[in-house]
Amino acid sequence: MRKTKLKPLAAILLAVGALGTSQGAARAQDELTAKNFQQFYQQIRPQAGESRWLEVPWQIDLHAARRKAAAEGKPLFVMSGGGATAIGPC
Amino acid sequence: MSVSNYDQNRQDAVGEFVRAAGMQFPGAGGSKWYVTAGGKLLGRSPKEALEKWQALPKDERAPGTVPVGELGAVDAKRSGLTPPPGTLILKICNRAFMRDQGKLRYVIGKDLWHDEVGKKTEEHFDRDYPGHITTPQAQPDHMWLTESEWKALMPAEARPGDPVALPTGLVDRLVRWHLNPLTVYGETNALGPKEVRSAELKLTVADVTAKQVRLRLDGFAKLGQAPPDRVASGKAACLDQWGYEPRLLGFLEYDPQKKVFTRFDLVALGDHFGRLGICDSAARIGLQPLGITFELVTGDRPADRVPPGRTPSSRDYFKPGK
Repeated sequence: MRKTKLKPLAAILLAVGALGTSQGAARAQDELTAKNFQQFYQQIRPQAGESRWLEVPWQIDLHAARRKAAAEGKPLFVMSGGGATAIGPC
Repeated sequence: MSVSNYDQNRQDAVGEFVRAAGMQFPGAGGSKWYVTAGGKLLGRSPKEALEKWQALPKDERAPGTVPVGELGAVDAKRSGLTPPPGTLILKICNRAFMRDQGKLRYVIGKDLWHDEVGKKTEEHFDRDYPGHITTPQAQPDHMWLTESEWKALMPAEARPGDPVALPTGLVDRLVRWHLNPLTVYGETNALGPKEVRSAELKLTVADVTAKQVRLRLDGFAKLGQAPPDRVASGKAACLDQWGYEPRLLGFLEYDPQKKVFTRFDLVALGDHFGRLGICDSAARIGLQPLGITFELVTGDRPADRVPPGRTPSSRDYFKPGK
């Protein structure tokens, strides 16, 4: 009787242990090292064609932008952000 | 032209221009306007703006015909901070990930939960606006190092293996301003000192030649709270607490002849739990990776001089403990 009662407990403990090992193994795979540094560095940064708005030659000084627009005979496109300038961490 | 909503209240030529033209910057969500250099509003849609622009008399749109006066005194309380002379600028990218089949992938709408057990998700964003939710994109920011700070990183007599003392202010800003995981979703203030459980950064000379000195930066940070059991076990998302425990690794290169840094690559990567943003209460299940890169800005693009963090709080950027 005692042996059979322990079986479910053992199964649970094994399952929990396996889950812990699995999560630990998953985390170990993305532990930052000198070997995988470039891989993660590139994966975090914008990918080619991903954030096209970053390619626009934005101005961040409205007065300077007015002067440039007047000199070049162009209108201004003004994009506002909340809390920070629109192209910043906004 | 990129502005913040604070620009509309500036008590200087910029604020007067915005108000006189009739532009209104609402804050969260942003807005888009078309206007002439002289201050005539052209509308908010590109088609309407182009038609109005083309209908203007030539003396209101020909090159060099519209006078723009002097800027005059700047409203320092409401304008964005500009980098002090000699500042070394690092471009930052923040990105949230999901672990998926042994790899890291970018977040998609259904990864974001509005409660702890995933009953309400943002999947409808994927359906209604395919490819348009912004969370997966790398969120930009900038770190500024004063001239005295970045010069202190290069010892006069560099020998391989030598430790280099990091300026206290630099370490404090790196940890509290630039490892704040909420930046992955929008502008933030610096973390409070109590939100830093522990942090350590070590800079070491790796290699020295006549043409180059290479340095290595190693470190870690434990920020926010330790994960609750239900989150650590991967069973729940967490909306009322947060934590981030990145490892940091960086490679710096210095040109001793030109006396400038030519490389400043740094990565912070580690487990995060909690909300991903200040405007949205969405969170990912369990502990998931969040990564941050730092890289040297070269050139003089105006966009690279965007100040760190939120426009109002960035004025305290160089103040210790702020």
